Amino acid sequence: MSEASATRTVTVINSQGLHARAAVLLAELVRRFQAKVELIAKDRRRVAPTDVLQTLSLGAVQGEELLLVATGDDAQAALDAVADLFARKFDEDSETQKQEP
Amino acid sequence: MKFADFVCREAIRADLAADDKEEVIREMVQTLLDAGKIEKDESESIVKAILKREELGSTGIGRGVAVPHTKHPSVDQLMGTVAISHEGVDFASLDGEKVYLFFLLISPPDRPGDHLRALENISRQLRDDTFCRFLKQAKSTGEIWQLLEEADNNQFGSP
Repeated sequence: MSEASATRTVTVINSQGLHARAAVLLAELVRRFQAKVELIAKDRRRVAPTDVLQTLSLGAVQGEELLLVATGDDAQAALDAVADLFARKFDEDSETQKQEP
Repeated sequence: MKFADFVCREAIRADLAADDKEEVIREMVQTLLDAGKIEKDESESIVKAILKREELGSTGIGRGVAVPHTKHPSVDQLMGTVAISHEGVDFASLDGEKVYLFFLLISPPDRPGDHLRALENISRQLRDDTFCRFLKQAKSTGEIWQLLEEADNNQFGSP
């Protein structure tokens, strides 16, 4: 029986790139899911985003595309959540704007 | 980017006296001040900025490693230093473990790319367990510098 799997391409759009705090947020998010998630750079380096040291070793700057691959029951949900984190720029811009609804 | 591109050799410390987060940061900023890399008037402001960054989330990224850092307008190029605590320090790390290896970085506000390249280099090298273990065991600044040079020459792990 094959496991559920999902793939998704995300782009680093925040100006600071995939720096330490962003990598920590990513690790914390991925750990909430059962699925095994991998982050793959253009040069084919594959890392486990649950390990901040591994994510930082990609040195992904603004504009860089990364491939996400997840396997496990909640693979799709995991990638939806991760894609949302990248799209929200790791909440970096909301910190400076502080807009009330 | 290589260690030699941003690590200030004179500021390396093989045995930190500090045993808490704030003291580690103060001691490491002081080493950069003593090495003439930062201005005396700016050192307190740099310490405060690094502590403020730690409030957003610890830079203790696991495996006994922390990368306290800040952007600061008083520096015109990325600079950093390395320090080791043989006893380990509670740094509120992601994995809850004590931190033994510290890489402190100060970068100009407009150079996020350089900061990322330094983090990339540090984390890539530290993924190698041998390098990590040797560094934690290093007893002198000369020994640490030699290990950094060997890492720069790709003598550990994969490029």
